[in-house]
Amino acid sequence: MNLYLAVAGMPVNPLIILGLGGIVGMMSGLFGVGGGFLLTPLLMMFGIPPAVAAASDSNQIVAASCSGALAHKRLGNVDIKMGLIFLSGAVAGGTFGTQMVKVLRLLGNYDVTVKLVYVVLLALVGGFMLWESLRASRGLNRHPTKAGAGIKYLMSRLPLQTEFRVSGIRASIVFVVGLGFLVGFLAALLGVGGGFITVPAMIYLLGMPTLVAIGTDLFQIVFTSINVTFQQAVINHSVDVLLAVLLFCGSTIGAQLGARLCRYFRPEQLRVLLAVIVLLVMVKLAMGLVTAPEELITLSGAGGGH
Amino acid sequence: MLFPKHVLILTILLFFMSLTFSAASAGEELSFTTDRPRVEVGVDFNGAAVKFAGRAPEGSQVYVKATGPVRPVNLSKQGKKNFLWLTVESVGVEGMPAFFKVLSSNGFNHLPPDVREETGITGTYDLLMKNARVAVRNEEVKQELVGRDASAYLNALISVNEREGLYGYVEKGIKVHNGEFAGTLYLPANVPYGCINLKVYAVKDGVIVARDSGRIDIGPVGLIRLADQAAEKYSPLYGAASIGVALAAGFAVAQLFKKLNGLLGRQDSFTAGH
Repeated sequence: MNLYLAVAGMPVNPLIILGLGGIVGMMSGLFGVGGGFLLTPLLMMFGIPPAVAAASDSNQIVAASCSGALAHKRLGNVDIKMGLIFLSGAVAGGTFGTQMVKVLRLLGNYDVTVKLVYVVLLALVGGFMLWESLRASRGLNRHPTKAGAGIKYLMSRLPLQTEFRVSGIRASIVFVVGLGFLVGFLAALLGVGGGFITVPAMIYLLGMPTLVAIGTDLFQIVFTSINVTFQQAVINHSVDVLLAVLLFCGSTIGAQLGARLCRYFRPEQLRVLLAVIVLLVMVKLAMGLVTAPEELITLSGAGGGH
Repeated sequence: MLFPKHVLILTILLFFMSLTFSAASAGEELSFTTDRPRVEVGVDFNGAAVKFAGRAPEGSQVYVKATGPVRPVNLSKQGKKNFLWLTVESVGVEGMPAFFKVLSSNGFNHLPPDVREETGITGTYDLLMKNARVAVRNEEVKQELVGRDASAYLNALISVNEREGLYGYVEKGIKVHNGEFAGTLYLPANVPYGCINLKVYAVKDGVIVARDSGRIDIGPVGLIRLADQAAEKYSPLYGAASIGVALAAGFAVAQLFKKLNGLLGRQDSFTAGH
């Protein structure tokens, strides 16, 4: 039985959408980061219009991050001060990103911009994770890299330095706000929570403990995804709440299964697997940019047939 | 009162003549009905099949033309720039119906040119293309395209609509037997909301001998109507409601797994990622 989506303007098989949510949720549970950055292109592959896929994915991220943040709060893994400062930059970045979506859609370059940014980000994140996890498996990650040390030096020279007690670090508010702006902008543009950028940035650039980085990231993502969802609903009318609910139902179940599967792998093995998946998605998207499309003229614009 | 004989004879003659003419015109009449004047788009909508039937003059062929609402459409053209396939031009198309299907009991080639022009049933989409306007969207001054430039876009739009079941000519899509005809008009799942106008023609010996019209209204109902109207007309409220549902769901799942972990005697673990 198919289910008709009012905003997407098309029927979908709910089992497929639940399955997609489940696969992405399982990856979340299994690898600890990511999910949304794979979900938007997966939804596009199943015919959901890009703008509806991105906006509805943002809506399901509200639910998923809320659930995860509450669990982490109980474990003391949420640095609220860090989260709120990061958030101030992310809200500004999200608002700017949503306006950019509107402009890009008018120019007709939205799809290709989304794909280009995806390709670059997936290549960077996938490549770094593969390199880092392979080094970790050989026991070579005891000392920070030159690039990491350089960024830490730059961060220590920026004004408005402050203590973050839960994280146990000292950092510049300017740097944290800037990082938040970048993540908020990408979240709006790509329809992702930004965790696959934020968590490594918090760990490698800010020096936060891994679990606190994950918990704080989830905490601030609740607010950034709320902002992006609201902006997408008001400006682009592209949030399909039924699609989001189906995705969330699948992702929560998948996340629990993934978390149980985690026990059968070593952390660096999991990171290698995730890096390979990320790089495969990157290659597929990159191929789409350099090979001729089947049809040169296509329908553009968000929404379905209505 | 005296009634002149010749007037009486004339009256009787006129009476019989009128009976004869009415009988003849009844023979040329066309009746047409559909099994559903309204198609409701609900959560389980997966397209619809609208059955129609009626009576046509003996020996005539029947043609049904269904035309949907005219809506502007945007199209993009891909081109290669610096090794990347990018959108090189975006246009807006106006004047093309969102739905256009013709069903017939006979081939479209049998229609003479004057009937084709009058009915708009040509076997091609030339008349639709003639009435459409194509203009470049990303220019500050609206530049209208003509000739081959416009045709390339219109042909692409027609191909998309044909592939999605929104456009089509269905030869022999109507069965005629003893003056009665019947057929089915298929509406795909992405059929546009609004009114589909139906024009029915009975053609005999290259002449339109009778005609009728009808309509099918397509609109959302229930949850789909609520979501569609809310997303368009009350978008801040819809956005807030979408967020509320997601937060409630997230909170509920967190509580559920907290209890489940408690029952299983495990430490709380984090649930869905992002």
